[in-house]
Amino acid sequence: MVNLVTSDNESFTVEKAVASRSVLIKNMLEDVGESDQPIPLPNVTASVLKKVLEYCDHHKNEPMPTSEDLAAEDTRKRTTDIGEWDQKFIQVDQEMLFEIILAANYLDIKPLLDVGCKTVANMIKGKTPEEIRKLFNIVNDFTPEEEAQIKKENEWAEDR
Amino acid sequence: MDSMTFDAASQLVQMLSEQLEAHRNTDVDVVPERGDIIPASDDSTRWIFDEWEAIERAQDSMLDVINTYTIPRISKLRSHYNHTTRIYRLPFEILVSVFRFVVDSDASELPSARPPLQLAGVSRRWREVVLGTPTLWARIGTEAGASGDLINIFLARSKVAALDVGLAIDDEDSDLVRFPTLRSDPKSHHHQCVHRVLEALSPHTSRLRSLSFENVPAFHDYPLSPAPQLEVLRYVGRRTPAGSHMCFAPTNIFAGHTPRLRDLKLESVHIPLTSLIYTGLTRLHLENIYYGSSATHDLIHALKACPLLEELTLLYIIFNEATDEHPTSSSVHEPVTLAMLRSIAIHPGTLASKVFTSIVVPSSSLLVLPLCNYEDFNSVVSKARGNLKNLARICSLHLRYLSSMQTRHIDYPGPGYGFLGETASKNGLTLLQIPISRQGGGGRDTLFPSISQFFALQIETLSLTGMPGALFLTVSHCFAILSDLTGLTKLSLESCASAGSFLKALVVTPTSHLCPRLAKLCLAYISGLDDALIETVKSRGSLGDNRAGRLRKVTLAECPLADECIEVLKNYVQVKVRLRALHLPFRRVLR
Repeated sequence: MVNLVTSDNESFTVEKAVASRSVLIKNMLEDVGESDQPIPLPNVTASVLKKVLEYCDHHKNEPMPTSEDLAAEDTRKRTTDIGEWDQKFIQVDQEMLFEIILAANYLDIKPLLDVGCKTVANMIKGKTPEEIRKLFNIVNDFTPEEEAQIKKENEWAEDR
Repeated sequence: MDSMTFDAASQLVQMLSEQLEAHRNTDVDVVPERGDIIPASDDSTRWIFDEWEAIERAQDSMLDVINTYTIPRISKLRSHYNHTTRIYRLPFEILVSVFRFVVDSDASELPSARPPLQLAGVSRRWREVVLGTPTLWARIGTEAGASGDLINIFLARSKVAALDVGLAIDDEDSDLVRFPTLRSDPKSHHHQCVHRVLEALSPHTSRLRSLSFENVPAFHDYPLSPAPQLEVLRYVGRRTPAGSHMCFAPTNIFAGHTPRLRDLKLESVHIPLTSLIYTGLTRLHLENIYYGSSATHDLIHALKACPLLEELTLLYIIFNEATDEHPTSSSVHEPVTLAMLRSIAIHPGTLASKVFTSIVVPSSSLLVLPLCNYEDFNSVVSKARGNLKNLARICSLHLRYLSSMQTRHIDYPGPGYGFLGETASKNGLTLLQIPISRQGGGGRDTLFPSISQFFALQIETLSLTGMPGALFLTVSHCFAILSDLTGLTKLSLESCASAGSFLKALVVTPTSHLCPRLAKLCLAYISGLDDALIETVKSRGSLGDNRAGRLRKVTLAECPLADECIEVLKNYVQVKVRLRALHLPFRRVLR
């Protein structure tokens, strides 16, 4: 078993197979060897780690992505399809969604990071810039000159 | 507003007040009463217009100066605000990953020109991320040709990234449906879009990683510059209800320099087989092409240059008959061994039989051989039996009638396929699939006996699934089929209207003992055969334990038999009754 301590000082004791879905933790465990020492995770809060561990537990028996898989990603066309369980898992509010993505990035859990990025991509797909701004509470910070250039580009794209 | 902007604005207001004051001191302060007629501009009224213009100029210059200070500041403040939003917490590389998922989405969902432009129009930071990631601009579609400026924006912003170009002239587009003549009009908007992309791409051919072009028009100019990075090339010619139009590409397409090309699909597009483009491929799909000046041996010669070929599809390829019938001395060759071949699909049978005599198919390859009902499987493969190493491993044959829904999943052109014949090795590896055309009847008259005869000594398992009543096999038909299958140990009949005929043919009599090794009989979704089943089981199950061919087990799934019937069967064989059919010979989902 592995003991993980979050930024808000909460401890989680999990199976090694579950914790090792994180490449960061896996490498730490390999470096330290067999030890009872808790692993501090200063960038992850308890509520987020709980979600991340739920994901890791569900996928613990799946093969880890190989370096060839990761290398092929640059050339392969990506799809935004998400598995049924993952879709339900990632149905969280925006705050939690971005926290999960950041935690997956920090803990180096590529499949979870992809699920998060695909979810955000699916939220964005097919929307106009104005709709995207509204969705993420962003304001238009372009100067009029920049806006004119953007407008021109978009007119070309819609020119039929 | 910061103090500098505020001071500058105050100064301007002060300046404007002073100017106005100076004007007022020199004026004659006459204000026309309501109803007075204002005379046309003359010297007496000129001062009004002078002052008016002066005030407007001052106002404009003041607004300009204010804007110069305030607009960037407002923009900056808005950017500061944006940095407090949740999505701005995602670092640059994660945003890139999100954007790549958006840009790579199915082109049918999103026009491929728009995603990077839309993302770049959300906010300054998003624009910075999108403009700073050349790969987001490297996927280029027909829409990018909407204007010359747009395609050049994509090419400039993709910098040196490898390009994936997908072009298509959509015949279903409302314009082309309304005005079909536009389909072949080079000046139509659709052709112009493609033309603009291709013209702009010309100096960037060296960056091409993939090029896909659907509905290639006959007047298309093919690229002639080297494409050292090209990995995937797909040219699909135009299909119309009247047939497809053949396009002719030159032998020196891409100057014959495509050293990384692995995946080539040509449909109704002819590139001479002597072109160097056919070198080093791992996937080759040729469809609907007439090679007027080539023969089969030219194709074999081209395949020789692809020792790592993994997938080969040849559909409706026609060679010059005269050349084909009289091969030159150089065409006499040893069969080419394609050691890496995983799957090979050829149609029609005449083409297959020619190709099979010249290539060696490895033992684990899947051979897909769509055939018409009237074709003789034996004559297609028998001459090349020694070259088809995979066929030697076959030990089971499954024939399934396909519903129209399932037929759609078999994406071979030609008439609808009503049957799928599938064979497998002992460990379940599918080695041969024979989609059988609906045309001309049922797929049983010639083909089924022909296939079973070919594998007669190898087949241990025979499964027939979903044979409807319209395709009824008589007892003599079944007798003929089973008489060849001397090695059969298991027979499965599911939803098969001819099950009764098979059972009758299997009855052992003093003069007939078909399939002497048959040990297992599986029936599913079959009813009303109590007597026939009892007769067969009785005759085969009572052969005595010392007989190797004694029927030992009958599995019944969803077969409503009378309890008495089952009790009788149990006297002779082990009977297993299942509620649902578990034997599913076709676990593999068709494409």
